[in-house]
Amino acid sequence: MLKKSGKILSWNFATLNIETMRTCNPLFLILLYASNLVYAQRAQFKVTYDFFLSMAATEQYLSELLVSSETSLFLWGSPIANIRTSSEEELYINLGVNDPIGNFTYTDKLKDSMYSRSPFLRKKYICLREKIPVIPWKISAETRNIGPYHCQGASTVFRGREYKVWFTRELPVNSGPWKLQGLPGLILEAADATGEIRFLVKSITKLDTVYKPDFTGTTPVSLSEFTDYQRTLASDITRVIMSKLPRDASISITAHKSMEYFD
Amino acid sequence: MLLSVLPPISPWNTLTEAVWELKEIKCPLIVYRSEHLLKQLCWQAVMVSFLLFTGNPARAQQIIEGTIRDSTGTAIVNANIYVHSINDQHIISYAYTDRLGRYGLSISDPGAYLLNASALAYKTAQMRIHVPKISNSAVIVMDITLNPSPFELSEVVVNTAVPVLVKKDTISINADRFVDGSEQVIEDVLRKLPGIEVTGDGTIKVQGKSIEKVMVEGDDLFESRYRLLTKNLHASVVQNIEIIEHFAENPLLKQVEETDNVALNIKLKAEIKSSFFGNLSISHGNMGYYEDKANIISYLKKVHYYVLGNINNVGADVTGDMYQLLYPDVFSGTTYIGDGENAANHIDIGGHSPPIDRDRYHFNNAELVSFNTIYSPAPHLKMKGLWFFSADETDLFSGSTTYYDIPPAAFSNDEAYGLRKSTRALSAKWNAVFDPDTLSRTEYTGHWNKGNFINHSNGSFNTDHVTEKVERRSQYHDHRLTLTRKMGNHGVVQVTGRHIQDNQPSDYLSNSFLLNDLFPKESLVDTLAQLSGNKLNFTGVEVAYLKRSTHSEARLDVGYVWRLNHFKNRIIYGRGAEVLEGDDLLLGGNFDQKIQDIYGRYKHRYGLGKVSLRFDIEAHQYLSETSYDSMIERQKLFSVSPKLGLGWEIDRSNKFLATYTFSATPIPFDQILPAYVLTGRQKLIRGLGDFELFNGSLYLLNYSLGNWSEGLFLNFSFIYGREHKYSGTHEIIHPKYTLTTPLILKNKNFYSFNITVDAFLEPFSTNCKLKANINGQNYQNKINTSGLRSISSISQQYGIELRSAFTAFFNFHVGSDWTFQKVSGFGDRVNMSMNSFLDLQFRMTPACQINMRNELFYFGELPGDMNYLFTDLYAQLDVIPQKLQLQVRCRNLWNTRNYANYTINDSGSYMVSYDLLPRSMLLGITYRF
Repeated sequence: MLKKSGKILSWNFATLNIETMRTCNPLFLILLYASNLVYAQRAQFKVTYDFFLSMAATEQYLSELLVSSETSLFLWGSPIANIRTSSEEELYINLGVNDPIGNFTYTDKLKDSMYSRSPFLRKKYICLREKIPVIPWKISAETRNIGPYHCQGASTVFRGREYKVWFTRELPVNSGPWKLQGLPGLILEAADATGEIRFLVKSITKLDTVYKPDFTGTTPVSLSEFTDYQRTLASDITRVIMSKLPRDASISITAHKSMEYFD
Repeated sequence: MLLSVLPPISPWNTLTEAVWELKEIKCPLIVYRSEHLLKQLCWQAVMVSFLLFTGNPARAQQIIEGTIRDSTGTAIVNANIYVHSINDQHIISYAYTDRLGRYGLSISDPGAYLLNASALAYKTAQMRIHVPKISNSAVIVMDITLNPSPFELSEVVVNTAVPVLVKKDTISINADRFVDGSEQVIEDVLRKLPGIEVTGDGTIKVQGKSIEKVMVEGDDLFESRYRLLTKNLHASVVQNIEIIEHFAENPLLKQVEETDNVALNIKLKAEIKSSFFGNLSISHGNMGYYEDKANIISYLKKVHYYVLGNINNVGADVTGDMYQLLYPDVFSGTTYIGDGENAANHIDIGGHSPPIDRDRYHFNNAELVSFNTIYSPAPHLKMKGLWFFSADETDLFSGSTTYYDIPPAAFSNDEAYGLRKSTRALSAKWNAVFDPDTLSRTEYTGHWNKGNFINHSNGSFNTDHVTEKVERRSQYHDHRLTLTRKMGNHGVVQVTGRHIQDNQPSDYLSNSFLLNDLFPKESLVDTLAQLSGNKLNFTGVEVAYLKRSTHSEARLDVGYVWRLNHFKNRIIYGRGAEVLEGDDLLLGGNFDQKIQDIYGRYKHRYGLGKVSLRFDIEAHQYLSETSYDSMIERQKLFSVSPKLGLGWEIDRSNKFLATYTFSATPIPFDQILPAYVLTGRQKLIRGLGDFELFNGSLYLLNYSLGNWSEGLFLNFSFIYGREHKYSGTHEIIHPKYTLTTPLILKNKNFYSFNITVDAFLEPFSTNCKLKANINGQNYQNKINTSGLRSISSISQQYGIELRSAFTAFFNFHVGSDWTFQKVSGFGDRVNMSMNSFLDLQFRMTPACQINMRNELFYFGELPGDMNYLFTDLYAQLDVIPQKLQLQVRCRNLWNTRNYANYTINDSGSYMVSYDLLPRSMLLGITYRF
């Protein structure tokens, strides 16, 4: 849940605060705080999204996008609701481990870099460093209002998933949830065609301070290293199940589920 | 309409991006870095290359570039810049500035445009630009100055509606938050909801688990045939979707019975007063083949209707659709006292059905119409009604040779028949549920059906011409009342009362009399008839107490059953107009059996970590009174049967299960009849005359290694059964008739070994399945003058299957089964058969798929090494998704006109051949309204 701890607003840091009290030494804690450099910024705001990720189990995250003109930090830590655990009928290896820092995507426009921290095998996290991906958006003629904002529709295929998004020019940044960005306005809603990934804007508030991400415990890896990791993970369990079914039984091949596919 | 927008281009940062993108489309470009001059050159080169490689080299692009600064001259980083036409707001090109404030845009058509520049904490600047002609060489330079503006943003709460609300076992999803207006039917809405998946055929899964049913406002018209609803109900009427986990038909049992079922409930928008929808499917083909279906559904505020119609002559079973609606409990696994009780039908001239798809040999002409409704007259009262009428005329043509290798001499019978079955059935079911509070529930279900079934056969028995007719009339009533009440937090009491009446008279008439040897006194007899009346009266009451705690689940049932079976039978034969009744054998008469069964049943399941234990015990006190004409016999029999089970999940990959069951099964009514009854062509069977219990023991062991998700999965099971006392037979087999009388025998054994291995072959992305099944039995019987003889039979089945799991457009499934059978009676007899199949699936595009099925049957003992090959093709094209579909079906492509199979038994062998439906090609269209 969203907790405030002094000036530290982000919920995942707050969680860290509580948990590390028990397990870490004070020095570590201080270092962690120091790494979250807080400095004054001219204009920035926070967007909260309901983020639904339906892979092994449907999880709802209350995610936050902290936007300034030069950076954006999208944070999604532990799910606030585990809508349902996966059933016996379909099986996945779930990598959704949670540590106090959680998942984030940090975009630094000045350095043309995007850093994404995500879970990896055996409760480890991996941090991908890549150039800010250029997403080939197709802006459609569709318009729609989301809250007080007039939005335009756009679509793209990004890393194996077909996204449809709604963005508003009224917030003049080119950010959006997770890695979705690059449109002339803020992305307020985004969903992939399979319904497995969905971001729904919840609120937008002004921010006085901005936060930098916490890279503790991870060394950034390149995109090629990251895709190699992902390939070794893709054991295609569902395909194995599918091929064992009797003659008249059929299931759809869901293959290996990931937010991004690099093939 | 989608406007094609060029990717953002800006002089430097975006330059490398553009290069990168080009690199992704495999263009041999060098990535330049740094050095201003080089950058400019490079920029031009890249732009030219870009224009060359975007696939439209002839189309020129006008470059607009410049710098965005603030009023102090400082470059603004990451400012948005976009161009739209003067007339509308459609963005034609967009970009954002690099760290030096530079941008670059391109426009492909001349005209007047508005250039907009915006950045956080600056006023948006808009300027008009005129592009008189497109020039590749001339760059329009537009430097822009933005004026600062205080960044004002009061908190905006965009949406207060909670998109997903989790409340105990119900997850309520606010559909409005997830849809964007492009959805046509409910299925499209469901696809967009988190955790819900809709497969290609419309099956709905919640987190991978198939759902039981889809209700509308808590009402269920379709049972598990919910696709009719989800593929047809308009998306615009949906307000909320509720996912109900641990779904139980009776919500009070949810607390005490383990269930993993999931159901969906659709809540309609308040303003929706009525909705009318459905689909129509028409298919017609060669040789007058047709299959037409209609589904019409209407949702009014308090009343919901569903009308279904189906007519076809392609062999499709129309009443199959009705079974799920008529007997939903059978499909959901819920059982009640009296399930399966009906008056037995003794005579059947329908013959065997071949082990191939029914629509290959089933010449039919079926019609079905059904009307279903749900009505809620009061808030806690729900009434449901279902009526249906079905009519069918089916034809089956077969020829057979039965070979008897028995003493005193071997012989064979040749038969050839054409059989027409005419069916008329009218059925009604009504149900009322009253649930005034969360503690109690009252449910009443009534069921009535009336049918008329006429089987007419015309053919030959060796050299004799035989015509036969069986007319059976059926009238069935069933009333069940179930009261459920919650007792404390973990207990439920359920009382069920049920009354069933079934009346099934049947008349048999044959134009020939082949039983002369049985009735030697008669001569010149030319007709044979059997007039039977069979009635059942069943009344039962059962009280169940169910309790559940953390580790255990227990159920205690106490019940009382009163059952009356009445059977009267008269076998007559005629000589011209003269009616005769034989007295050589005990034939016909009036027979009644009254059974009272007082029983108690206790079931207990206990789970502790990886071990689960099961203990069931059942005790019955039967009071039987049988009367045959004026002879009355009363018997009291008592039985106790325990069942023990142990489940052990050693680890994730190793699971073990063992059970032992002792059973005491009462002899069915039709095996008690003390007089001979004609049960088929020239077949007379007599029952035991006494009420008996047959005891048996069954042992089961099962072990599984791995699970479905792993590369290797193995399942092994072994079953051994012993019938300590069983009903054997003494058959008098004569070339023209068979007389069967029962024998009480001891110790019949049977066993079965079954092993299945699945191995996923990763390099081929294909699963290989190996199967082996060996089963056998040893028992005794008597044939003619053989005296008591021992029979042993053994059957071995081996199979292999390969099924691909390609993610591409093509998949296959191929396999073969070989069966070897050996029966030892009067000497040894062997048989071998083989079935093979090859299924191919092509999904050309998401809207177009083609399936091909091939089957090959081979019987080693059939004369001439006969193979039977079948190929079917099915293609479907979605012309307008969710609205209009076209189908092409082709059955029996090779026009195989007959199918024969060969079986062996302890007295000889049986070879039968069936005529098949000729090749059919149907073109179909399905329209949703």
